[in-house]
Amino acid sequence: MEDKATFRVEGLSFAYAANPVLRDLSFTIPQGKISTLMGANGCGKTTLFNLMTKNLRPQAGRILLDGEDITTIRLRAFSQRVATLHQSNTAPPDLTVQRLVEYGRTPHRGLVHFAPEFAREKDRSAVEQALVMTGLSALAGQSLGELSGGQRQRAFLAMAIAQEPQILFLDEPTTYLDVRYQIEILRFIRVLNREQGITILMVLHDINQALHYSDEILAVSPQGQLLTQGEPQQVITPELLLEMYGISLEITEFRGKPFVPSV
Amino acid sequence: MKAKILLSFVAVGVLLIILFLFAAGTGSLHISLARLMRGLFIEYDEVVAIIYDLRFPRILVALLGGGAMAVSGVLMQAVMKNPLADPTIIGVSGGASFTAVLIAAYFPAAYFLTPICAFFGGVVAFGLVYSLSWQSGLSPLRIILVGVAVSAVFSGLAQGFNAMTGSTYAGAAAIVNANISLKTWNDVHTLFGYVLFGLLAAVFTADQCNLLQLEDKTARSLGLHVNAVRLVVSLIAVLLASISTAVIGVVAFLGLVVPHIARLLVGSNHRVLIPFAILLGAFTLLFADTLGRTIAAPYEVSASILMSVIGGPFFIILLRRSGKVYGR
Repeated sequence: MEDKATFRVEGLSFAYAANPVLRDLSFTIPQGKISTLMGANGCGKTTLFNLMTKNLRPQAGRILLDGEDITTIRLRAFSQRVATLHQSNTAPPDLTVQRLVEYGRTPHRGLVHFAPEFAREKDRSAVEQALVMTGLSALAGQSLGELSGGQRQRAFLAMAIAQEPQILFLDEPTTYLDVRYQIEILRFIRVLNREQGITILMVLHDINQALHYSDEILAVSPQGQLLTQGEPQQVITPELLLEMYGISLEITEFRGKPFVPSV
Repeated sequence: MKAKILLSFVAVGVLLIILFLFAAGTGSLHISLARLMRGLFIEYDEVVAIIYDLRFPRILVALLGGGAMAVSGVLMQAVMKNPLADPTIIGVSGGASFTAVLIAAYFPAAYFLTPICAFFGGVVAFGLVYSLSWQSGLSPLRIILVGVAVSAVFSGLAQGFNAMTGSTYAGAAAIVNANISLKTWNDVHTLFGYVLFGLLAAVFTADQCNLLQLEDKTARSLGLHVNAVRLVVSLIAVLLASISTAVIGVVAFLGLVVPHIARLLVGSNHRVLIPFAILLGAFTLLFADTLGRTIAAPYEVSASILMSVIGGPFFIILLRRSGKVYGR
């Protein structure tokens, strides 16, 4: 994972029927950092994610991975470099953690499994490493139905890690979790970024978690335009929050980072 | 779990062999196992020859059709992520039987086209249900409701056209009534090629079926072309259900009950589930057919009637439990 991929969005626009969601969005995801997309409900964060993960096609503008338009990159080649963790995940309750994490090797495997021994060895070590990193080694044999919500989400995170991506997208990974598991997942993500150098872009619901765990913030207006991008300390102002969320909020400080009491 | 899987395979395999031998030896001509073996492999025996011509095709048709319908059910449940999907409920069997009846009643000379036409009918019915129940996603309930309606229309048409010919065409009537008592080696040959192809294809899609159990977006982020895979797996499921419907008629609940029992026994991994469903489906339909022709001999109760009687209550149990088991 020494070679980090560059991910750029250029002049991206998207509309559902006559209803524009994103307008002329341009930004570059900083390599090897944790960036978080912030914006009010309905500002197009989810649409943007779907566009960036090839679930939707751009209507105008381009999305570039290492300078190559992602619409021309084959899905499998794309999934070898970019992994995504979604907010809600379903799986058969009798699926074991081990097998779920092995699914993460799918992009590297192809459809037929007559892989040479060294490739299978690589699969095994990637799966094992993903389990170790997410602290799930002891639970590998358990089925998903036996796990707590936090453990389940960790298992899906392990699957994404086993993909050995250069870029990891996280779409509100903590939404359905208790605060304890929210923080657990966010800390895992930070460790993953610091130790493996994986570039991370996420959407978080909680403003303060976003400010605390992110190296950079991308602020999106309710009209689907990029307002600003930069380090939380530098870009977060009461004016920006008002523009993003349509409400006046105060900003204090907590452990050297901006803190927004949202009460 | 591994031990349970192995035990399930061995148990069903052994039961299947016993049932096969019992079915071959039992009926209006009753012979011992030893005589059957002698007649088949050592020397000519008139009674065994009759059994070979009349009873063996029926047994093989039941085995092939049962395996095909069960796997079709497994695949449809995988594709629709819906535990209640089944080729008869979804209307695929109805569409297939309607076209098969049309051929049998009006174009009997084109009987060799029956499998292809039945497949076409099945695809049309499946396409209708899928497109009519699509509303930014497939709600499990809508699929079942639309499927019931489409199914009712097609089976009504099949019965109607059959009645308009005065029910005089044995071929058409046999499909409507799912009567497999008059099957010949020709039927076995027709069924064998298509079913073998369909079952092999199904086995090879096991990994994709497993990935389809995840959210579509998650499967796509693993590089799976979700829509294309869904289409291919659907076509395999429709092929299996249509071909067996064209030959054995509409057998309700087989594609629903067998996959569920199979899942309870061997789990949801399609690499294991699909092969097991083949065995269990074959066993179940042969069991129903054999029971049907021995229970009130010399009269016969058709396998589809027995499947309805047994499958109906089972379906209700599933409906009542689905909230707990499938978290909906």
